[in-house]
Amino acid sequence: MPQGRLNVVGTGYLVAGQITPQALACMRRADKLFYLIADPVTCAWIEGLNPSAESLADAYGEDKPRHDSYREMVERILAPVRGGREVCAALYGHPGVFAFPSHEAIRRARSEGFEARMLPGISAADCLFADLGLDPGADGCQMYEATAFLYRRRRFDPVVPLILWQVGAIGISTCPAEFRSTEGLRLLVEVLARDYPRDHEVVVYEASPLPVCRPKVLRVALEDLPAAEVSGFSTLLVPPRGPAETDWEMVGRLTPPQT
Amino acid sequence: MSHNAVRFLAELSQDPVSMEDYWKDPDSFLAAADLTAEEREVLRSGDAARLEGLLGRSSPLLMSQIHFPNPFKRKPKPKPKPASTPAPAPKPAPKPKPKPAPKPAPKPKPKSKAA
Repeated sequence: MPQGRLNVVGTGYLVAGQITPQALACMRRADKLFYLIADPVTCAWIEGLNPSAESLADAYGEDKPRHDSYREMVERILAPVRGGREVCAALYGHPGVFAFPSHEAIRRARSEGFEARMLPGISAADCLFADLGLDPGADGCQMYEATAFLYRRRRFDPVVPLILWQVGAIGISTCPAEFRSTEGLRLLVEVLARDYPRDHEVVVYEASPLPVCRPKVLRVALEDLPAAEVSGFSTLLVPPRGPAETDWEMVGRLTPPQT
Repeated sequence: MSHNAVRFLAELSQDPVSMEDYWKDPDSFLAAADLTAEEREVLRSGDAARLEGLLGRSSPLLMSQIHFPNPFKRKPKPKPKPASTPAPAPKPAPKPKPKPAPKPAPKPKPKSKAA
């Protein structure tokens, strides 16, 4: 029996426009293609790419814990791998960023002796850097999942850009049709207000899913965040409250001696 | 959602120059595309609700879940151990026992008189 193999790829956020050539090749040649895609246009395009394409979205349920859905997806992905087939799993965005099923499927496949790899894709953060003109190399960048940021008391630096993922789903452990966590956003404001002024401008960002739509860039005062249009697609950027301090002694030590 | 609409959006998404041309003159761009009048109108509007009606609904399929602890199953905090076991305090030197008062010298017996 031929050896099964698993390739996990990302499709980015813009129908076919952010798929790498590597990912496209894997999706086309796979004996079995699974996909987990947020928008219906990309789904339709993928189904035209490979006749074996099968959506994993039906693993979610309105009141079903998301972790149960992820375990089901992993089993569905691994079944044809165990049957000796070349399998490709295509997830939106980057397949390894805020994506449990991909990492778990690869871990399990390798533990069972199968070849498995992940190819990098374009994540929501990459789209944010491009659309908002943010260079993570300039002042650094810190990123956290929004719910964990709250209950794990993350220590963070308010003079470094702060990105909070899944900000529309604070405290939500299922996958409802509509995400709305007003109380979660109020708690987030309460925590952030300890380090930022309440009128500090924050940005609610959503990458554009279609070429005929602009990305969503909503700038609001921190205190107005609970009333803002925050959805399950939203990522929050909290810009620095000011410049970072300079350690002049360290600057001296890093400066080469003048000749 | 028609096959032509899917193909139009997929092809447009792969060419950033065409996307810029679209935004400069969307009416002309759409007029040249193989789309129905309704599709042109809805795509031109960019309206989320109308796009959803034409193309179908997008769902934020979150692929990550932080393990949120159950507050009713909170384990009690263990009692904190002392940072280090302090050395036992040295026992104080025993107080010297007071010497007993010297017994008084016995009184000399009176000498008896000779006859």
